[in-house]
Amino acid sequence: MLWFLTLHSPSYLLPAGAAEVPDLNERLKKLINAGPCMLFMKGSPQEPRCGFSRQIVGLLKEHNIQFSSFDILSDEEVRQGLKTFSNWPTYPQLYVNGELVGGLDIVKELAESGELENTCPKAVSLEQRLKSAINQSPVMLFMKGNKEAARCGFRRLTIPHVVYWCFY
Amino acid sequence: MLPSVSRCTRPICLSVVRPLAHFRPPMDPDPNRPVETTIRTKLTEKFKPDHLEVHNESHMHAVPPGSESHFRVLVVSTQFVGLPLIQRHRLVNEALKEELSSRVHALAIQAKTPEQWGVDPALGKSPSCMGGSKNDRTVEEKLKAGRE
Repeated sequence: MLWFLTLHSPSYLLPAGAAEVPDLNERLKKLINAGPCMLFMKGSPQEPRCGFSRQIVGLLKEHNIQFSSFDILSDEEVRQGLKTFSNWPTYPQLYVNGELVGGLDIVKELAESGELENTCPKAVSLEQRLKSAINQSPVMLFMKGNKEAARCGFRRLTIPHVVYWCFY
Repeated sequence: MLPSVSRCTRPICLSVVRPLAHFRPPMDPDPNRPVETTIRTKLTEKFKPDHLEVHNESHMHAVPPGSESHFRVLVVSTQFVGLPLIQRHRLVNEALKEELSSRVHALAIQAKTPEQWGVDPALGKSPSCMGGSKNDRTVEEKLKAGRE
């Protein structure tokens, strides 16, 4: 399963009740670090609005890369600001851990040379997530609520007698 | 006029043999294509390339006929030896900074060393347009700058 988080507007970056617009560079820094792998594109992965953006999404999906995306058509300030911030004049732009990897041409060449998987984080399948979760500790309890506030009578009976980590 | 094709009889051939299938005619400066001419001039001056191709791909996009807004360039130069891809592209972007900030909306880049070009002398292919340039104010401004 591939995950991508799509950000259409950076309003979530504004602290609640903020009266002033944060410095653009700070906004951009937060945006490019919003995920380990961030794609700034035209449109969304589900609905790209440019052939170059569509192709880069295709490459990332094909190589099972987990990424978040931002639609630069939804925010003109980010669209123009990021070009200056990163000194990169075109879109799409791919960032990994806050660093610019490049555009479609570079991602294509990385894919062809087999380096793309090493450059970007891979998507974790549901199966892998579940395997990881059930093996976090020798004893794992999957319950409703948590140790302090078990939300079901069955769990309240179990808690006093067992030492465990819980996933809720 | 077809270029002469050099043939190598040694077991290890160091020169590039270019079959006719890869032949692309030399592109002379055209006064009707000022942006293309400028791009070619700047890239030649900056990189002293072994091989250079400049393709106007505007006709593949939702812009008026005759536009010079979308380009693909292939630069083969010894200046790229030892440089990672992103640095090579930054050098090309820097050389064409003025065009990219005014008239050129999209620039596809292939930046290869002569050795890489010798191994794989192929021009990349741009994806088909999805009409993203239509009703795009940034593109309209660049087209206007190109006309002025």
